[in-house]
Amino acid sequence: MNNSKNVLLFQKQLLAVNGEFISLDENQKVSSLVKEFITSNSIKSIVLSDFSQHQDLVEALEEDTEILADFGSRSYPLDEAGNLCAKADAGITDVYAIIADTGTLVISSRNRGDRLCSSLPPIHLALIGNSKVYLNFEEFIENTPKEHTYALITGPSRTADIEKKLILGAHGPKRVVVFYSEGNAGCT
Amino acid sequence: MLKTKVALFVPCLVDQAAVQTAWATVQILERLGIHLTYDSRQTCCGQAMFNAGYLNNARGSAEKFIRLFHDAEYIIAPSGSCVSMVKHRYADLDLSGSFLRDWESLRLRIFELTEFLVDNLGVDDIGSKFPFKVGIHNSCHALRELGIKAQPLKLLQNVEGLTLVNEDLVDECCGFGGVFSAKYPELSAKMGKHRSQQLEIDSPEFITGVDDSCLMHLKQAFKTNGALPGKTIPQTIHIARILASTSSSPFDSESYSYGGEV
Amino acid sequence: MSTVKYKIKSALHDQQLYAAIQNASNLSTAKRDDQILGLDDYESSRDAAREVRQRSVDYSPRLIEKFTREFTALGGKVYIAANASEANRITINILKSHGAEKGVKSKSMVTEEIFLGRALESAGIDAVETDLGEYIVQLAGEKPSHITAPAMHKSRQSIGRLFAEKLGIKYTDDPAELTEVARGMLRERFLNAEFGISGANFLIAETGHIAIVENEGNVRLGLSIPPVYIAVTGIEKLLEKLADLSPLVKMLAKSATGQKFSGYFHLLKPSREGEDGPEEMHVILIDNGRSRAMADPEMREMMLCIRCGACLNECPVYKTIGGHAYDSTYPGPMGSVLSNLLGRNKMLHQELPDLSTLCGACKDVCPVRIDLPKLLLELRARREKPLSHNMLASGWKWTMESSSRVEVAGKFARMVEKVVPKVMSGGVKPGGPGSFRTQVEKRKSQVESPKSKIRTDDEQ
Ligand code: SF4
Repeated sequence: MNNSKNVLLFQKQLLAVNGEFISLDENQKVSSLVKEFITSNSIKSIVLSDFSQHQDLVEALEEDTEILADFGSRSYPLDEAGNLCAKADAGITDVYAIIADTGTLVISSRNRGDRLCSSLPPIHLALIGNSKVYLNFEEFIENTPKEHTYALITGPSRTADIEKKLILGAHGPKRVVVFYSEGNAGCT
Repeated sequence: MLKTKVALFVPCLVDQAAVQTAWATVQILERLGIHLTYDSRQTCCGQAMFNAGYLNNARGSAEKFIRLFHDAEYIIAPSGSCVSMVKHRYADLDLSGSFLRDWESLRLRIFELTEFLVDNLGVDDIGSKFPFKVGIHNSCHALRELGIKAQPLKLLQNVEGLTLVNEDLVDECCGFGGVFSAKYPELSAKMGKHRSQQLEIDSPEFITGVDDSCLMHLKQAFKTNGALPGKTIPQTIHIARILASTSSSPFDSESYSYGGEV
Repeated sequence: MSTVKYKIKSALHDQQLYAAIQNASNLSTAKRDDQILGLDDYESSRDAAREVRQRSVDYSPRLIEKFTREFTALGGKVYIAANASEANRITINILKSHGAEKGVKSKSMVTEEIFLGRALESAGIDAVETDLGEYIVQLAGEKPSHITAPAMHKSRQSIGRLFAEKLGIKYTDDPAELTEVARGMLRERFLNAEFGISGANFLIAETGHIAIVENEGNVRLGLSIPPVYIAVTGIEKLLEKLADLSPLVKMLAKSATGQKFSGYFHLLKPSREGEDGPEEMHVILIDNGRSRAMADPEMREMMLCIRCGACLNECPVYKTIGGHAYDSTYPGPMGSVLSNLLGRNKMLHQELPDLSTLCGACKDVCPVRIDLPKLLLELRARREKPLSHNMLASGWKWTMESSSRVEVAGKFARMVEKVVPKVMSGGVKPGGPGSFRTQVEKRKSQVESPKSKIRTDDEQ
């Protein structure tokens, strides 16, 4: 499987569904790029799900950004979790897999907080450095473990229920921003 | 000279209300040197009954049709809808015995006129002349069940003096639908209005097609609704009548009979 | 006048409705065409999709069993409801056992079919519709007029007026602003929801997954926030294996919304220890006539339907009168068939099969190639015929049996052009003296002249 070719295709398809793609070069750290993004988009508060790099991000961001919930460091009662995530300007999760030919993010049920962090805040920041890369839906279905729950997310949430006019940001995020780091997957 | 033997099927609607179409069909086929027969015992393919849900009655018509036509080398009709009925819908009539056997082979030998000319005879220019601006309405059954779209177009493109318009118009039902129009006249008329206005856009002088039923419905719509601002109402005309017109026997809207002679 | 006839009449006089429906269905058709035209494997994808659905319906009982085993092994619960009232009762019991009173619902035609909303309301349970279109329709006190675009019959102005009146906001008809208002209103409801209810597009027997397609993210929230989640769907929605999803989800996205892939696709199962997911999951499978339809050799094809709504967008009748005129949960060509298969008795919507010109556009767009015109015709044939119709039909048959009778009838028809059915008059001037047949017979002598070769049968 040619990963970099697939990532390019993913990028193209993601942009086609109104997603955003930020790519890092080898010496950049994901955390500093996320920080840069957060500053330039005046994001004041965030929530993070329980993914492997969450600690690096917390350290990089906590100085200037309010961290309303960090599912990696503790668990929250369901209603409190919902309220915290709904208040946040952005939610950060990593991504289990990407599907190239539709620009799709696959969020699995394995990380605590993934569902809320990727659906309640108006901006979803998705880190795909560690993600598996599949060419298409068939490949994903064939190779993925069957015991988990998955959400396949293709671009920001959307509706066309009023006169068929496409509006981004129905109930889920209005923006989906993907951070990709080739070559330094796993290390920030 | 072609030696093809053809049995002519004149659907009941054409027989009763669009004689010109039948005669034009005769003219065209004869001009091509085809050996044409017409059995005057023929009536209806059974479609009207079938569409209204009267299967037994429709089966009666189908059996009669099969009895009359099963020997023919080719059966040609100036209607996509009736040909499709015989070719496809007879399958749902629970025919049995010799009727079923005869139908199974007969269905491969029945064709709509333009389909026959282009696909079977390989003819797409029959020396016609029709110096007018013409738009096509593709009738649903011809289009969707028989795949007839390119054939009439090809034939029209080769008609001397004819200007084709509306070529890129989307295909849509005229709203006729046989029993449908009898049961829901207002609805059917509104659909007719919608379609007729689409057809008017390029200002054709004539709207043509392969089925008189749809053309009559459109004619009614044009008549009822009048012309769009700045447009004139086109006439409706079966494609056989366009193709039958030549420089020696030009189109005459009043002529209804064979060769315009009687 | 029948209810349907009455509703058609009022729809025909509603210019705003006509404009809204024409506009929306044309845009939907165009978006779909954008996805489909130029695909070289479209036809083979349709075949693949149909094959999967065919298998699904063929093996349905076995698949239900397997799904139930998988799903319950993980702690979920599966119920089979024979009819609407049973399904509603099960749902209400689950919610009552939790003392749940407030929750969120995502769009689901099956719940419309069983009038779940009404049942919950009378049980004192408040379930707000969260799909934007469905929310609009609920606010207006209406039913959806389309199976994938519930508020398709409404203009932005009428939605603006509705929001101003019911939500007390300042009037706006900007779709973005209206969407934002609904988002804000429903956020509160999501955060306080005690339960979430949605439909399901498919259920996977092999793995026990529920598969749901959506775009707005309301399903996602509905299964992320509340502790109790209930999926309600038909017994025909079982698929054998995960791989069966491939042809279906793609066809669905293309045919329903003209997307390459839908915004969200959920593959959901009861959460395992330490995993993220609702605390409790229930699946209610509804029969309501489906097993009867599956056992009906002519009608079972309808059970292949994946509810994409393409046949509605394409139907010239639907585009003229909209969904409400059908007076049934499921409108359009698919609805005219399906409505007569569901419920305690068959043929509850006898008139609907007539509401089609049989143009075949629905069959042409159906991603699983359902021969809707054929099914409509079959239903027409099954219907009991009023005596007057039967007499008319026999009269027609009697006439058509003999060409001389056709002649007489035809002469009569031409004489009374205005009163005979349109099929004979067509509003045109009769083509000269007599029919083609008379003319041929009159002209036998000429027929035999060298100039014309036409032969009548008796010469052969
Ligand atoms: S009948 Fe076919 S086109 Fe119509 S909703 Fe069902 S799957 Fe879609």
